[in-house]
Amino acid sequence: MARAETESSQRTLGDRLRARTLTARLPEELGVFAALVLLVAIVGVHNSAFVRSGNLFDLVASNSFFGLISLATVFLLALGEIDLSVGWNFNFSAVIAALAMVHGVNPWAAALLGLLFGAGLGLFNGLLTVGLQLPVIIVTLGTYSMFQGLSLVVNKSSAVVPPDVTSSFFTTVNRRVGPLPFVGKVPVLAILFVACAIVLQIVLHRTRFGYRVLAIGSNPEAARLAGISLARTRLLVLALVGAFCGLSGSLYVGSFGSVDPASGGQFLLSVVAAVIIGGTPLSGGMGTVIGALFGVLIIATISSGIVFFGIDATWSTFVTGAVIIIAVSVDQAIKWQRRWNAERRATRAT
Amino acid sequence: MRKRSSHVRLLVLTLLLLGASATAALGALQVSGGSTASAQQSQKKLTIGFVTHFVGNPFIKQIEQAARDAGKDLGVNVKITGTPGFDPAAQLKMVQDLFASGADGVSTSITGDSMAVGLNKLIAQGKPLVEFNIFSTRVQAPYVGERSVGDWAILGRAVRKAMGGPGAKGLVLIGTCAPGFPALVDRIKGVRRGLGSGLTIKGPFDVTGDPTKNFSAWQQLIAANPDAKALIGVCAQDLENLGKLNAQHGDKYITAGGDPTLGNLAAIAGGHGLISMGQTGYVQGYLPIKMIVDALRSKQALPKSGFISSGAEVITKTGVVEPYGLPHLSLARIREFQTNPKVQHAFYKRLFVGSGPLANWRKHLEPIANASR
Repeated sequence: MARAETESSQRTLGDRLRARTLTARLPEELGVFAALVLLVAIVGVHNSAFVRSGNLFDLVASNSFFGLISLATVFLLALGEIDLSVGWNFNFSAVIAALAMVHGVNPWAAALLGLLFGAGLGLFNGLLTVGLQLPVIIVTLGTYSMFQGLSLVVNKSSAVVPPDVTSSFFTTVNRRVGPLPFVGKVPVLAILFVACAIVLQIVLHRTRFGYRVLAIGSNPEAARLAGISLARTRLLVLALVGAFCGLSGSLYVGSFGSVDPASGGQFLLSVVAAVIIGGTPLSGGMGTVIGALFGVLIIATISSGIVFFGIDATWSTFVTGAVIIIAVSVDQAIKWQRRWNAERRATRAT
Repeated sequence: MRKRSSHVRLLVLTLLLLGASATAALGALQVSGGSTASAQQSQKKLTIGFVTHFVGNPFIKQIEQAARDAGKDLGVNVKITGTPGFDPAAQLKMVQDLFASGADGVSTSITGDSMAVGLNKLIAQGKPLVEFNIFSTRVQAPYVGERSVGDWAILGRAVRKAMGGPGAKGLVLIGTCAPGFPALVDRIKGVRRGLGSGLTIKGPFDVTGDPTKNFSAWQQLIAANPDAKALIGVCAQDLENLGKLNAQHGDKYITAGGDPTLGNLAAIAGGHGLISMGQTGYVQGYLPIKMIVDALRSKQALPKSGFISSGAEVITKTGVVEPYGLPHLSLARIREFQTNPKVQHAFYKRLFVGSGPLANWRKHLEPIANASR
């Protein structure tokens, strides 16, 4: 009886492993990509102007600011943590970069300063987290207001506008590369956003650092026993998120030619939503940067779709939420279907 | 297993159909004025986009209603969209999307200077654009809104008068829901100007935009400054809460705020509030649509700059003094405007038609600098 049970459980384990192997043939992001294509198609059928390549690239570029932060936030969610201060880190870094430009610093150097400043703020979050041995969410609950308040003090509660927006930094950020075959001219921001997604995806899934992040998120105690430094990894991930806030802030100044006291303050919800829609669970241990890229584009498509459909402002918030639920449901349904198909194939094979 | 698979397929299909049909139906329904027109007629109609901030706020809803009324009166489609808070980048994208989707002109509030570069690119392409409610001097378009400093100086003077006139002494507390927000900074400047010298003025304190937190913030300010004589809030939710607190303290304070919300009107009617400054939101919604439609139909470009005052509404217990020679309103009548859009439309329409003062709006254009005076 006991032997039969052992055989049965071994078969089940074998089936599961085989099923996983079969599922792995298709990327995890397939579901969220399908949801994105579906949304784009729905809006495109309603108004063909939406699917013009120029408009789609503009959509990618103009959403790359919260998008870049979303890409790095995948690492943090994979650790099982959330940073609430990302929006104000972005704002504060942008203000510092713009102020440096106002004070005559070369715009490229000022942008680099913004990036480093953002990384510094992220590191500050990290030091508090590690030093006080608190979850990131609690520390950043405080630094959320600190960064916002300090930014207001530094920008004197008004927009910071660099005096000369004709230098090479501004023209490069706003440049369009091309025309490329079939797609026309592509904004530099869109290229940078996609490039960052690919690089970060490789870092998360093909480097030691990435494995450590996933290992800690999956089981912190086991990771610690395996010799992984939890504190160091947390510090690095928070600095990485901060650096992307800084990079995004500097690019924002380059793109818009100024930064307002409120810019970025509303980013948090979009960032977390994009990452979760993309397929990274809040529980940690898993993550997909490419999924987050699609998550950003889903949110962007919904916002634009509301305008293209002419949905009244009163309804727009509800529709945004409802379409997000539909997109996530499509992703989930496709995952169920794939898992079921794989399990069925495995059963047949045995 | 097969049953489970068919369930999943059914779920996906249902969700897709639901999503697509709901979105399409909403889109078709929500384009103002378009429901009864045939497809051919609506193609000929102009479409004007209207982008707001603080979607759902009662004051913004009044502006939106006015834009809808203008669309109906002028025979154009009005597409209204917006953001829940202050999000300049999102608003800019909405303006760009509206033009990309075929809008002939757009009116938007400017929640940040960072919208300027993107908007100016559109204006340079010949796209008609009008700013309303909040503006930026960097945007090359006309603006319809309040004369923030001058109008709020009226409120400051009224408070000073209630405190005893020229020889008045005492502590005045000022609260703001968004520290540093340029339009509110101007209002505070106006209040200070109206209050004049000789008074002790503390603030602006952050009393937050959330109505519940706002009540608590004012409560704590009163607790910390029991000797205060006057309390002035520059945001829509302040006076309602100040009225409640004043009632709890036996109406010992002079309280003042802005906008004709139902709560603010109740505070004034109950004798718990002295004055509320309205900025005639109806004009801010109606006039930008009219300006764009006039410009498109007459093929005369919109000015690259300029300010048209929407007019100050001075709301006290005796009623409402309306701008542009409109008749005096009772508190009951302006309260009715909040619940009955038709009555509101009938009252304000005279401004924009025939020989109404804003029918020829170009006559009222002032330099943009006057908006902050």
